[in-house]
Amino acid sequence: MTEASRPPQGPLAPSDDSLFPSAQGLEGENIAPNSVVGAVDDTHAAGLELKVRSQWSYARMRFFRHRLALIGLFGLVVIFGAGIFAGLISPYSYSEIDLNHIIQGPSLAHYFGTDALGRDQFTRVIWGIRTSMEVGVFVAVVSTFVGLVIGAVAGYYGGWLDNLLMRATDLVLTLPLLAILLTATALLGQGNQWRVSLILVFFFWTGIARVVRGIFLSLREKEYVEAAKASGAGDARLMFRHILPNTLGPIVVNATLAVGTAILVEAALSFLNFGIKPPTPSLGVLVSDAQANPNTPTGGIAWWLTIFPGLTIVVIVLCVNFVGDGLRDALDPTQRRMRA
Amino acid sequence: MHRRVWFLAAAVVAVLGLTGSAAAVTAGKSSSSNASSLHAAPFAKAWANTPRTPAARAAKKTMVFGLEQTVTGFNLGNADQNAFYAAIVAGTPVIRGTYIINNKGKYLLDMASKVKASKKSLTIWIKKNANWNWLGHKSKPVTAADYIYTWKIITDPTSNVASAVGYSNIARAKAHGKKRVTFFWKKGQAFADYRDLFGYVYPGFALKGQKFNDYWHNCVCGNDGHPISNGPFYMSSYTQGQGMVLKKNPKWYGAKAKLNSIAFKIITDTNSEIQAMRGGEVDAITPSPESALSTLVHQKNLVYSAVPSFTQEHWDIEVGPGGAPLLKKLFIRQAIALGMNRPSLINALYGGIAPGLKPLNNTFYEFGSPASGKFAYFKKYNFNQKNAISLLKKHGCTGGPSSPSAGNNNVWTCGGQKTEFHFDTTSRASRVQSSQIFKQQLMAIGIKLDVGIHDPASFFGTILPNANFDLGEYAWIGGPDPSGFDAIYQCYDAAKNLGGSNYKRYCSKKVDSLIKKGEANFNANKRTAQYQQAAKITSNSIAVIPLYAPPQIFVYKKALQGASKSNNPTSEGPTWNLQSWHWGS
Amino acid sequence: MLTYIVRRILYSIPVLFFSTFLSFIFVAYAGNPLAQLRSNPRFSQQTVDNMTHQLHLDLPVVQRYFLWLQDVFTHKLGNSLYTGQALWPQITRTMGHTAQFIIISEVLALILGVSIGIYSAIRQYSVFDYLFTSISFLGFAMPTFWLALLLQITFTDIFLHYNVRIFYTSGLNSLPGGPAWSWDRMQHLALPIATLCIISFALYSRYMRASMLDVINSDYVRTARAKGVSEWRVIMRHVFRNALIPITTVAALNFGALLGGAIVTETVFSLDGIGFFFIQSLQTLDLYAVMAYLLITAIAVVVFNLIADIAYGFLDPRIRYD
Repeated sequence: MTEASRPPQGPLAPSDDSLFPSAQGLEGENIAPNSVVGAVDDTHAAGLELKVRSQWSYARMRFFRHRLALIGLFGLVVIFGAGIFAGLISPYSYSEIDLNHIIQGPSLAHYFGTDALGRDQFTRVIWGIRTSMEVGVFVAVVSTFVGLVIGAVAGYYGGWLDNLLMRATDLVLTLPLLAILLTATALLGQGNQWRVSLILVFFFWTGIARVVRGIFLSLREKEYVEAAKASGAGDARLMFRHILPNTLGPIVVNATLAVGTAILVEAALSFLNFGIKPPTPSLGVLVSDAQANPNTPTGGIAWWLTIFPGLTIVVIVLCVNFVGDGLRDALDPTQRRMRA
Repeated sequence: MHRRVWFLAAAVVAVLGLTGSAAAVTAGKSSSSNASSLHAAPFAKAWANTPRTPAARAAKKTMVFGLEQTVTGFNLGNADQNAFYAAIVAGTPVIRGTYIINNKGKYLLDMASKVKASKKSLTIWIKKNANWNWLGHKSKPVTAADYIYTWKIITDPTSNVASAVGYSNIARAKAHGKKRVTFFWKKGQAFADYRDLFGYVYPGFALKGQKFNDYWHNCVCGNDGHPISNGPFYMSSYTQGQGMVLKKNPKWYGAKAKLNSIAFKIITDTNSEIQAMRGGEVDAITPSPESALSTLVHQKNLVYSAVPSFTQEHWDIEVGPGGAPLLKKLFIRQAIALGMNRPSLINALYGGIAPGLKPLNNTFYEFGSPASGKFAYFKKYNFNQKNAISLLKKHGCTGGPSSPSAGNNNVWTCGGQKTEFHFDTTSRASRVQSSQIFKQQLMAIGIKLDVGIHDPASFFGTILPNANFDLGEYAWIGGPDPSGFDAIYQCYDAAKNLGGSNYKRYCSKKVDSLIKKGEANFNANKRTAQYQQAAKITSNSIAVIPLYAPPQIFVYKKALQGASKSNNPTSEGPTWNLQSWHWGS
Repeated sequence: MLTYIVRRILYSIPVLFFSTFLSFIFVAYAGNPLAQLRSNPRFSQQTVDNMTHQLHLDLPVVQRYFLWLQDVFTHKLGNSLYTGQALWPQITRTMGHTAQFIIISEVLALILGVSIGIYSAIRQYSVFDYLFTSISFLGFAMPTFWLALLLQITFTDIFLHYNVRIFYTSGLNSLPGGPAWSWDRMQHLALPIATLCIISFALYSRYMRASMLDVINSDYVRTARAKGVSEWRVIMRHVFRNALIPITTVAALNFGALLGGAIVTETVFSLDGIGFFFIQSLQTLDLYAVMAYLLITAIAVVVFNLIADIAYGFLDPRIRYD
């Protein structure tokens, strides 16, 4: 993979306002006791009435106390809103060529300037946001689902099935993202965001799979699971009703952070001209175009062509990471200290 | 516990250190040689001796040329190595042939003193003083035997030649002494484009024991590894990926070179190339067109030259069964041509680096067939969107815009079919841009394009040969002698191996016969006339929409004299008169 | 432990086999590398046929895979389909260049990341901590290619405007093939190293900080403090060393991934490294070169994953492999 991808795998990521993807063990050992079932006690000052809250409302409270997460959430709402309503808010059409206004700087008519064919950068950035959004969300959701299923099966059943699935994970890790992408686009036609997303999913599920597997492995020996088994619960019920809820925290965090990683990977691929191909807009393609046409007709540097798309990517991923961080704080039950 | 950590850390550092230094040591060495191929002296040493300041270079009579691509070898006949940058280094300056083409496309006799060609035979008189300088050996004259060796090796079925066309028309050869050779054509296969034959002659005697597919990967040398040349320079050092040095050949038959040596440094990316030129590190470059070059156009100490090259960028319109049925109708093709604003496209793509580049107006692209002049048959289809619309209306199309409008979304319907076509091209940046521009221009008159961008392998390998497209944009590489049009325009017949490059499946008996006559006509002027008649017909049937010839750019320091006529758009490249370059005051 | 290692290596072999097989099939189907010969209207069909036969393009894919496998062992990865030159020297040369600048940037990033992570943990919630937390967040959100481009544009602009060369913005040396350890090389590598360093630094500093905090709040540290051990000794003796353990794994994994060539950085800066080599081979559909790259990087990934796991087991006595 390119170094732009930081796939969510690695050793224990200790808790407590850490930023990165969640805990997972290597090769089966139980490192993080990542399971707490039941509500976390709320400590109220004596004398106040004890309100019984669900785990989710505690989580929500913790999340909203996280300032950065709120900023991130707000940012995402604004940006993704812009993406969703791209058609409504963009002042021009994104492929509208105006050969009389080539490579002009930011102005009132063109907020982000124009590119080599006179297209409005602001419009193209907004449509690029929409594409990035589609890729990020699709990859995160689908790869989470796939990874969840595979990790659950591997962790719950163990034995040869676990071994096989983990070897499959290794296989995926050694496969070259670029080569597969190149061939897929050559065979299936030009790269639009859905084809690229599908291929990215193929590479992203391994992260979640390992996390989920670790949790399932550690939890299936727990007493309450044995008790449930003794009282006649089937495999499916055990997996979904008893163990799965404990994975939701790390899964949600991982999925959120995967959105950011997917957007970064897709941008890098489009930049290298291996991912999304024009005319589908993509922020990576915009930067690649900027590199091909770096100068204004008079010889100066068209800084706006590089800065704005890249800055947009940074802001999106930053907001996603803030939200992910906040979610981790909110949902990670091993957190021992409440943020002041 | 801590001991383990330190132990591990030490082990890791040791491993890293070993890897790093091993890597660095191997990185410093040049790549190991293949036992079967010969090498010239390594470049690094020669480069270390090349002076860095202009004054020192002038004193030592040397210069540095920036080469934009690594070459894979210098055997220009070999399909693997048939690269422009190999040609400008090893072709013209080192290995010469019968003719040399100057910057105006004129064929000048070079190694031959006289050439006679007829329908029966081709006779070449080799200059008396044309000789091979093989270092370490006594010099030998260039003889008929060399010409015969060249013909034989190119037509050898095991040789991977780029093209054997013309050579395979020769039935037998006869040497008259050392300096005259006659080739007899096969019956009925006289090759009129004879001037393009033997532009590159191999020294058979020096290559004994070597196989065509193997020689000259890493040198231009005889079978003992010593450089050989029959041109103004010989290649004294070369390292792949780094560069090569050409040194003056004192035994050349022409006017001796004014410079003693020229170092060609390989700088593969445009960013570095531009900085090297601006910073004075290299004295001349011939970069492929990229818009970043615009910073070099107005520099006071540099001369910037851009001329149209011999690459014909064009649209193919598929009129065979694989294309949209509407495209078989002439008025549709006319409307498409009238809807395209080619000058505006050229300005957008190359305005900054080749100001004044004009569109091509001839489907047969001959040398010097500019936008205007008597051969500019395509001029009548210049940008006129109003006419396009009235043309469509006249033929009963409905549903389109009544006048050209930028935001139009209506597509015409003609005879029950919509004017919506697939447009395929490769992923090169200029083509992606032009596809967007044309899409917008044609939408303004109600013709919709579905753009497909492909990688070159599938485009050239599958889409074009299967004639499975509607409209396609790509480029032909041509030459100044009008030729090659048979493969492009002849009626396609797979069994007879005709029209192999006629992907658009255009077929006209008249054009076929004109091309055939032209191919057989040894009088260059008459041949041109016949080809131009064919060009007129193909222009009017809009078999092809000619776009432009991408610029060939040559930038050099003002202090370098003798290079004013050097920007040569043919495959000779800017080094065709390398021997006349010198430092002036 | 030894049986674990052997077992892992044995498992890796079928994984490598399948991985190379799948990759081979994919790239072989991506297209015909000889297609470009047709851009000359008078291309020789004879040559196309010759070369098709020489490059085994007329054989079924599976057979071609096994021919390639044979070449790997008998001809040291074989020859490039595009240039006909031996691949092994190219791989070692480019790998050497990549290893050089990756090692330097990873070591720098580790040193910086670890020290800043430690200090941030000790002075949690201070201005220093918030400052570097923000920088790390930025580092995580920054696309590598954008950072590389920004640096390149800035220094190109400085050179073109003020005629002052601070750092070179492309290439490895002023003359390709120049000495590996020279001031010239360092001037060329400064920007790529800076790019990689910033991105990796974010990762390492956050990991270190979180790891430190995790250990700081553990019981045995609290005991040490309660016993009256000085804060410095607590940090250096107990916290630091234990906190370092997860970092080694992350560093090993990261390094293994980066050995696949920092593709984007090398492309932007036109460095003659293995990532750049890979991109060029892909663009020309040079199957053997692509496969050589894949084999080497797959082995690197597997080896470093193994190193990461072993290091973790070695350092943390709670982990037992059987």
